[in-house]
Amino acid sequence: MSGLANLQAACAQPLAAAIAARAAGQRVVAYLGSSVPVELIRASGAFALQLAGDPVHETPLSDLYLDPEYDGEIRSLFDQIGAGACNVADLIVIPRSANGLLYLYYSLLELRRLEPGRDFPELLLYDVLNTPNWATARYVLGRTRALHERLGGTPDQLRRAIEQANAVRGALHALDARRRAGRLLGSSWWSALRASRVMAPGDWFDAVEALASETAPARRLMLKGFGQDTPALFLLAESLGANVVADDYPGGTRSVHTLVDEAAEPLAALAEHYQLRVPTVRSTPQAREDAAWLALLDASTSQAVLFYQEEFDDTLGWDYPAQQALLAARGIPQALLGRQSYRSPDQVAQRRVLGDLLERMSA
Amino acid sequence: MTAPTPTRLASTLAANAHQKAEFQAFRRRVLEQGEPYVIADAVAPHEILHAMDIHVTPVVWYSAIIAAKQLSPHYFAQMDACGFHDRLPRYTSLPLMSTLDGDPERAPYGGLPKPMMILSRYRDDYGQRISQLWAQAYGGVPVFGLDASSSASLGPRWWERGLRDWESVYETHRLDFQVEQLEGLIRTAETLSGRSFDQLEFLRQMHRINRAGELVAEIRDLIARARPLPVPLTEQLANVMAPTWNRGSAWSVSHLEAFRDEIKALIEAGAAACPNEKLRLLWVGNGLWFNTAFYRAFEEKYGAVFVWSMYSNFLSDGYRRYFDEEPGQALRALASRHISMNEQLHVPPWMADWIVEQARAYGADGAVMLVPTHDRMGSFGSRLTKVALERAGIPVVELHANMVDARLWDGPAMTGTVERFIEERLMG
Repeated sequence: MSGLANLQAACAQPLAAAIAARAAGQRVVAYLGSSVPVELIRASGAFALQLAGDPVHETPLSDLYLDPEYDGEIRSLFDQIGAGACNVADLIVIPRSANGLLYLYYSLLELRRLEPGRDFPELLLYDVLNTPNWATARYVLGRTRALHERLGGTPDQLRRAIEQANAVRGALHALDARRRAGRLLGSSWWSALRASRVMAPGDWFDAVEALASETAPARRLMLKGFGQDTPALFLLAESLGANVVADDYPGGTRSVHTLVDEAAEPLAALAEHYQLRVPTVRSTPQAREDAAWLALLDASTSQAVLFYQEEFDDTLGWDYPAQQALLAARGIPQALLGRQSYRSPDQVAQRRVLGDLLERMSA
Repeated sequence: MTAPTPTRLASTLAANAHQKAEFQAFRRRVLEQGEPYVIADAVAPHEILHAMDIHVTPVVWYSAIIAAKQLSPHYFAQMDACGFHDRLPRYTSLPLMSTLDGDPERAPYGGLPKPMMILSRYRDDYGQRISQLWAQAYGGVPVFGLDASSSASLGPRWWERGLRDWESVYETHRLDFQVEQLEGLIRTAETLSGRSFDQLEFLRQMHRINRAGELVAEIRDLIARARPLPVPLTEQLANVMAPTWNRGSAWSVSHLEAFRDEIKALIEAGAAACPNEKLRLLWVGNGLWFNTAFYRAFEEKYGAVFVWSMYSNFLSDGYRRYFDEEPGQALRALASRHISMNEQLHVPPWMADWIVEQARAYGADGAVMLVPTHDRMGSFGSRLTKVALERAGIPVVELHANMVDARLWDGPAMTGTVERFIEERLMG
């Protein structure tokens, strides 16, 4: 298989590498989101597996136990975990990096109480907070130390895990540069990023190294908003003659933008990194967040921005009017895909909105 | 022999008059004398500011006032005009819309003047955004954000264990963090106001809050045991919420004593909120602030009376904290008060277990659950709580509506839903 095919296969079968690792005798620790220090998991000798939402499957458990306004990603994860589909993991670490994830944690605990016969992995809350305050930093350091104590691992193992995770980030930076240079499709970038969270690092490096140069469409788009559990919007843009050369959503480019400081005390470095350097929907103040994605917009020379909000968004809509104004001041066209269904989006409408935006970009 | 309860209790009239007079007096002091005041989340430590004699306006209190005065449609039209989409949270943003509207003639009590500070607790993902927009709308005021740590486990019977065993219930590492934040808040409020934190006054107020909680517990027992219900839910809300917002004041204690005495007298006189009481209902979830008459809509036809909502006795179960006579302990006790309020009111198992307990205490036959539309912080735990109540033998009907947005309320449809529930599940 080609490098890209390997990455895409890992995304299509995200548990496959973890199952193989477990069969080989390795412990598997799963995690949600992008705010759990994978370095701590790997330093403990465990295989680190990111669980993500999957819009393909039905969610009967969520229909029974969760209110309708939960985000699609959370409903999907509730069903996957609650139904035992993630039992390859010995433990699932859930970060408090979004309200939905916190409620998922509590809802799964309640599911276990209501249905004690259900078999799914032990859950662990990593109470990482993203407010840029000193008191918060001390709290997050305490929680990071507690997570390390729970998982285990020596200081040397931790340093090596940080170096390895930074190497992954560095490789992703190189891929991002190729994307900006028009030699990598946005959908391939998405696959490489997602695969880095479900594959064994060595296998992932091999696949990335074998990734052939691609010719991307000339028009350059930024995608911003909710997290993307599939490459669907990237592929839609490519089908319309545009490449997503930059993105700003939880778990996207900015989540791997900064390296962990290898010179600092490892736990302090990790705590600082996941508090401040991996943006989440809770990152604040908004002016700083806006400055960060505008810098990304400039660096990528994106010509337009496509905003994406899910059906029951209660958060990003507060930012949108001011962000529209910021783009208008720069003369950058934008469009909004609002109220998007997670499981069954109106693809015709999506195509129309994006098509209109690309026309304005060309005008 | 039963007699109808008076339409408005003397206590209710006193509570309403006190709230209105307090607000108008505060507004004069702010506008005419330049006194500082703070706009604060409901689940924030107002006690710190009260101990410095700084007025606090709770966001959801003002939101409920706006809704009760039927002004929410106007302000939500303003929200639409600003480009905020119509599924964004309403409950905590409605007062911001009144500020953006900028018309003190229209706003209840003349609107909210520029505060010294906005105090926000970052329990959800959007509160910080609303606070920042609000601060900008005032031309720039400081936002003090309290970070919201989370419990790893929600153990049994918080409403009992939390009174004295709060150190273990709310976890030492979380309390350490919250105390540090409270100390930061004290220093910030001192700097901005030029006033000092009065430690002895703080202790006095903390004790008064415990006394108020004891009175509310006493009132709860009186109401829960009485047959028929002596006072309608609307009267309970008015008389408990005013002391909750004014907690720590001498008025709050004396008012609750008067309310308790009035209830005792009503019970002795055989008063009935609904003389043909046949069914006792819980109201689960936030209040329906623009239409509190709905709480009484099923009395005449079905003898169905709402006996409880989460506001009835949360001042007792959620606020009381007993502590050693040492100032540091009082601050730590305060730290434990707010760090899990959301879990107590909106997150199973804490939400569910507490409500099941109330259902038993009040002898409830069923529950009407407000599942907030487009205010999902208040709805995330609803379905699991419904499951828990149903398993405990309490039938539940869901009403999908918003607590302050009258535009989303379909009166005939909601009435029909509850009537079918009563007929099919409670009387069938």
